[in-house]
Amino acid sequence: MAASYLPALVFLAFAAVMATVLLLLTMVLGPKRRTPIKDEPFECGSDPIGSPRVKFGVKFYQVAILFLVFDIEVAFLYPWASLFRELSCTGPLGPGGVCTGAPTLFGLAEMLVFLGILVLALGYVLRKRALDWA
Amino acid sequence: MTGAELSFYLFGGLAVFSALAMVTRKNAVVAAMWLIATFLSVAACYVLAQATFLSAIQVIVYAGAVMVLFVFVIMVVDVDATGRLTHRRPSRVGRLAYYGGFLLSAGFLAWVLVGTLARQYVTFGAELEPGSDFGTARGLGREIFTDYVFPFEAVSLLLVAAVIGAVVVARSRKEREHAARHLADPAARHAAGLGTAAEGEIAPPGPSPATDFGEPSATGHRGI
Amino acid sequence: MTHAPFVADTMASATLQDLGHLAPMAIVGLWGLLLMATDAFAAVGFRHFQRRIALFGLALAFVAGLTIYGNADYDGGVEVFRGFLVVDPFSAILDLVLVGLCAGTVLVAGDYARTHRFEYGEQESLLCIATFGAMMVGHAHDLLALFLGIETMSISVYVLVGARWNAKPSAEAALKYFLMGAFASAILLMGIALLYGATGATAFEGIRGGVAEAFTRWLRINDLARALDQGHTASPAASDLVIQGVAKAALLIPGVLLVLGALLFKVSAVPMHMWTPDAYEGAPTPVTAFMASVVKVAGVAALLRLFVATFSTHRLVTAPYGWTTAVALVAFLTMTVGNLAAVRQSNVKRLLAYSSIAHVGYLLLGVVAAANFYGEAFASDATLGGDGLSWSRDAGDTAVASVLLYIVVYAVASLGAFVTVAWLSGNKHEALEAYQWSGLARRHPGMALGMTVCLLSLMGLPPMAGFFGKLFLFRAVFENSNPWLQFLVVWALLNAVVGAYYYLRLVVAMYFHTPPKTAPVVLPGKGAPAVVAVTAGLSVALGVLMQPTLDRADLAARAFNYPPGPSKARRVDGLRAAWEARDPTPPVAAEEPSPGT
Repeated sequence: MAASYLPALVFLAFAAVMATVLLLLTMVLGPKRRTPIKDEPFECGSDPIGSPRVKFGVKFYQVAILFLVFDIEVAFLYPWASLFRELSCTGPLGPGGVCTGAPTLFGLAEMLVFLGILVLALGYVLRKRALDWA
Repeated sequence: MTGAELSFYLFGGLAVFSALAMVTRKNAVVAAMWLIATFLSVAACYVLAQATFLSAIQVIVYAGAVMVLFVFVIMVVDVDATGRLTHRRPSRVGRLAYYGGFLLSAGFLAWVLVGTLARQYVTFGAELEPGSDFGTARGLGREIFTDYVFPFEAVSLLLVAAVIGAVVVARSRKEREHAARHLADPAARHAAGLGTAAEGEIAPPGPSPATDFGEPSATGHRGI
Repeated sequence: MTHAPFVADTMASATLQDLGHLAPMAIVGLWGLLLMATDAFAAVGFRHFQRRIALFGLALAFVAGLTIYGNADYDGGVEVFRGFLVVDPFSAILDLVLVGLCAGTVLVAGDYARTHRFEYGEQESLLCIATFGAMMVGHAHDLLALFLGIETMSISVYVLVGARWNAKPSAEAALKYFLMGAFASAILLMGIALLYGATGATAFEGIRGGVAEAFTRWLRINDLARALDQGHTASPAASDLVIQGVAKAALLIPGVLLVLGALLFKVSAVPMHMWTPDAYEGAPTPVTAFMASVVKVAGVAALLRLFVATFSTHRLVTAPYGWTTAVALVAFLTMTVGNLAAVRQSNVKRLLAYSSIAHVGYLLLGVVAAANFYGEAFASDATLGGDGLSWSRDAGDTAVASVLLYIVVYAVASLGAFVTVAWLSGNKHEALEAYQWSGLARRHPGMALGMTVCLLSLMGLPPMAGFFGKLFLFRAVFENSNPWLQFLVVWALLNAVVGAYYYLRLVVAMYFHTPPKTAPVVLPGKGAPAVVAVTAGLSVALGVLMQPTLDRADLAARAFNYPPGPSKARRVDGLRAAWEARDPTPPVAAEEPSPGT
């Protein structure tokens, strides 16, 4: 079983090696002509003066929380999607995933209720202008 | 030593090491980076336990969203310029609590470990019965959408409470004052059929003074 | 794929039917969403009707609750959503009580927020969602339901506590409460994980079976030792069974302790009570009332559902090292510290906060007594036979009933007291110091009377319900043959005397001190007086009509508990048969001595 994850492991190892090698290569091969301007830390064109640790607006935090909540919502969609056929069939699935019973809306309704509640919450967020940057 | 066993010890050890590194770092940002390492190693352990879906969620939700949140929290919090959280030498009671807590949790952990190992849950490279969809998105969905329909729907209310909380708590002062002023406005109140406010019923706008919570008491207790 | 097919169309109808059983809870949750929607989408003028909408929904839920409360079909408990939740007389009482307490909070919260200039439209919605969570705890029949309910409730309450943006203590209280509460939730989850690891179940029934199995096997270690002493050889299978029992117990015990610690935190029992005074004081006072009533009721319901009903099966309580010993110690500390600290407070909110801690101490005594009786019943059914068993079982039911009665009576009186505190505020001030209450009876005789009745009920003076609550609770605990518990009852009585001092101090200030020259500022509106009138009236009425109330509580206790009353005997017998059947080999050395092997 674990062997089937070997490609993933190889991929990770490859990524790590690639990153290290490229960084090393630029260090060794790249020309080094230093000027005072090049030595300055680069920060989006603005002069890097003062402590980098300024206080952030609390809005960032709010957006992060909202992102987290809706991320969790999406996480519930994966298992639902992969099980949708079985959830919308009153009988067992035949070969090829063909429904042997009658179709039912149970699976759809389940997810619609869940999503509906959260879409309502999203509407609330938009309406309260929580995502505006004014 | 099989490959599964080897990778379990590798990732398990990595998880423990990076967790220890996280709690011992003084710099909050560095600690957050170690936390990512912990999350990823735990995700790898989930894969080894054949809980593949959980592992994917671990990466998406924890290493992704939760970490973003943590980094924002660190940035919102006003740490001094060195980036270190202020550290004060704890009192004797504090030290006692510290070491006592350490010993207690270490003993507790040992107890749990013995309990787990004695039952010999750990079988390396064990296969699930063929055809089992344990740990996959399908298998999990089978539980969530049939046996646990109710908690699945109830979780949405929990998430709604979290959304409302985020909106309420992080509302800017301007928005709040606007809302309060609007609600206190006699014309608006009249329009809403609430009548006009009596004198002294509504405080003037602006934050309340420090006397909000009463005068200092005789015992010198000033509340919080 | 070799799965048993699940038939989705019967699920659809079953789901709707189950929702019907849960109507009060479903309505409250739905109203939480509705209030959020009206707050966001309705026109500004319409938002002033939030309170009315909320009260309408709560009234609807109350009526739905009444139909279940009076329905004999639910006497034996109806499992819904495949055993995830249960509807029985116990949860029916809790539904009514929680909905009522939420309505009481809603009546005051809006006025208070408007007067103190932090009004926001989400308040009613959050109160409804929090009550939904509390009701889920009351219905819980699965550890996940317990956790989900507690979390839903807690997250809403954290926000409510911190919503008073124009006063710094509110944010501080919210932060303290949130950090501590999140830590407790993590501990609860860890405990649940260990319990699942040991028993392979999250449903209470499954855990009960797993606990019994683990301890029964573990206890065979004595047989094993005896057999080995006599020179017999144990079969490997038999000794393996014993070892597995020990190993399971080694996971169970930390699991039980972690869950216990988290729940004790939620009800603010003493080593975990530090957050309580600060959070109660910093929160807007109606929210404090909510925390002291709804959140407490949910915490005690969780203790009853999980500990008294599930962890009382075997050695977990009957042995001297069972969890009840720890809880008895906690109860002793809780009532002592709560009362002694309350004596020193001059701030009314802090005083009531510490007094609420003290009340938790009394309640925990009842929890211990109930669990002890049930444990005895379990242990003795083999040896004592019918009489001893039914006596222990009845005594346990009575103890559970008295705990239920006490928490309801306490929550009602506590809501009234905190609402009076909320009412005596306005114009940026809250009259929180006792001297600001002097002479209140002369200016506001009605409210002073209501507050006095609530305080006397909390104190436990005879005509009030609080007296009967204490009487039945202490009597139930005293029935226990354990001398330590009997000592604790005496200690609790002494504590109640201490409690009388600080409650009466406030009453004396209201009635016998000269009022200040300036009239106190009070909340506008009729909400607070109405709530105080109802709670004071209930505190008297429940005392006068104690017998029917007690009968009702007794019915609730009989229905939900283990060992079962007649109605549930069949099911739990089946359970025991199941785990006995699972045990593949008879006890150790069942084989006759086989010397020479």
